[in-house]
Amino acid sequence: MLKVEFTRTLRDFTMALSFQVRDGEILALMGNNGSGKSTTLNLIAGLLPPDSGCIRLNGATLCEPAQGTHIAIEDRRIGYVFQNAAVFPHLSVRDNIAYGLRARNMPRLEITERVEQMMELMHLEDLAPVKAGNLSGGQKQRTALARAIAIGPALLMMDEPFSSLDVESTHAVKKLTRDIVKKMQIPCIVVTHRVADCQEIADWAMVICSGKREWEGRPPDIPQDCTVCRYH
Amino acid sequence: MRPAGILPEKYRRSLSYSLAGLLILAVTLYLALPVVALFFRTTPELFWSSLSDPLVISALWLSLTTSVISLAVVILVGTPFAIVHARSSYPGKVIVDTLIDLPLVLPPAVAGFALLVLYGRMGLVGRYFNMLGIPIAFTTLAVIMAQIFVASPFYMRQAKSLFEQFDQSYEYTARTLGASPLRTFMTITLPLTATGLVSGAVMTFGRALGEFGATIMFAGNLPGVTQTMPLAVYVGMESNFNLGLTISILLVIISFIIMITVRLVTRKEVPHA
Repeated sequence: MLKVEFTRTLRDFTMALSFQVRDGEILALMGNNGSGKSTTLNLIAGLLPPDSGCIRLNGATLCEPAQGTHIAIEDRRIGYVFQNAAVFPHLSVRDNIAYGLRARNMPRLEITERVEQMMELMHLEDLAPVKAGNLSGGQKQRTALARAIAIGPALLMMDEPFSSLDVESTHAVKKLTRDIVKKMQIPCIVVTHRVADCQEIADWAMVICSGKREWEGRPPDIPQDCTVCRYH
Repeated sequence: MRPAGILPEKYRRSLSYSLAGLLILAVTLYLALPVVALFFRTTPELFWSSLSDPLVISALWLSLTTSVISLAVVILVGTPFAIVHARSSYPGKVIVDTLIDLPLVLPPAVAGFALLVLYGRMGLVGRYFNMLGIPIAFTTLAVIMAQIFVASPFYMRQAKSLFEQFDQSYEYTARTLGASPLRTFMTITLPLTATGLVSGAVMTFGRALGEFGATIMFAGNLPGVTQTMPLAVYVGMESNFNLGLTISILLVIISFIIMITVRLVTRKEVPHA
């Protein structure tokens, strides 16, 4: 269970949000460009400090400025897939997936085993030795997802994971994401600005505008006059 | 001759081909001939025999050691500086940006003179060092300081723009996966910028090795202490022509190796995401 409540002053507006995501639930965080979606993920991941509030994951406080609590980024156990997938281009698919396990000093045999599992799950076996810089968009996204899942995260966050994918890859990544989240029973936040993506993948949707909640509810109920719907 | 426009297509094409060839030949010859001339003025025997001259050996040794030290200082100080500079905004950043590039356009003799005014025996800062018994000007330290001043922009500019353009989501991802800042730098940032950093470093080394103007003003021309290879060429031209020739040829060879290294390194670019 993820519980988020924070304020953070940005250049153009002040963000103030509070929401929670249950285990095994996918929240679609929606909004137009510059509405604060990615900033929200960065605050939860610890890349940015909030001005006030409290972020709690499975009962443990990740961040609470009033108490001076700020768990280091590398100790939060959050699987974070960035917008461009950010696969390390100089490493092979296998080394990308193993990266977090090596950083956490997992024994070598266990790493090999876990990496094989992940590659099988994401259908990446044939690409194991390929340098990640040479992959297609969908393959990069699957590698990034495998790498994030490999560390056994307590929370999965994905920033616009479908924006650069073709229809087929989008469908595959959506299905994989849903399956994993349901199987691992972890909370998941997917940032997107496309209503269709939200309705296909999410259990719950929240639309934000200038850092504040504009609407929250079940994905099929997103109102037509919402900022995210207006231009689509 | 008739204007090209009314020539038949066949002639027009061969004319433009020969003009292009002529242009390439002219540029190539202009750059290559002086270098080739060096090799024609000496014989292999003379070259090998003057290689063992103490003056040559001490100049070569001094040049190589000082350039390596200068390069090491530039890398060790310049890399963290470039990261901080590229990723933060602070008052006066534009001025610092300009200062980094200044040595590229500043005449080296002026740079040497300025260093002398600051660190010389009677200099603004130098006098205090002198009182402590630490002379700076006209020592090997001055050679290194002159080289750093003149050659650092080649590395700094490169490093600065590399870190400015570097997509930080790679580093953020590594951190969320559990890597410490140091591990992230060593396994992600450094490998992804290494190509550019190495080519900047090689250019800095080359510039330091060829440093003449600032060195002769600030460090003088003492054999074995401050007489680097370019200075020895200058002395050789006046006293022992063959020595000057030998050192010049050595410098040409080293320059070639440097340029080839840069070419090879930059060709092995890693695929980018």
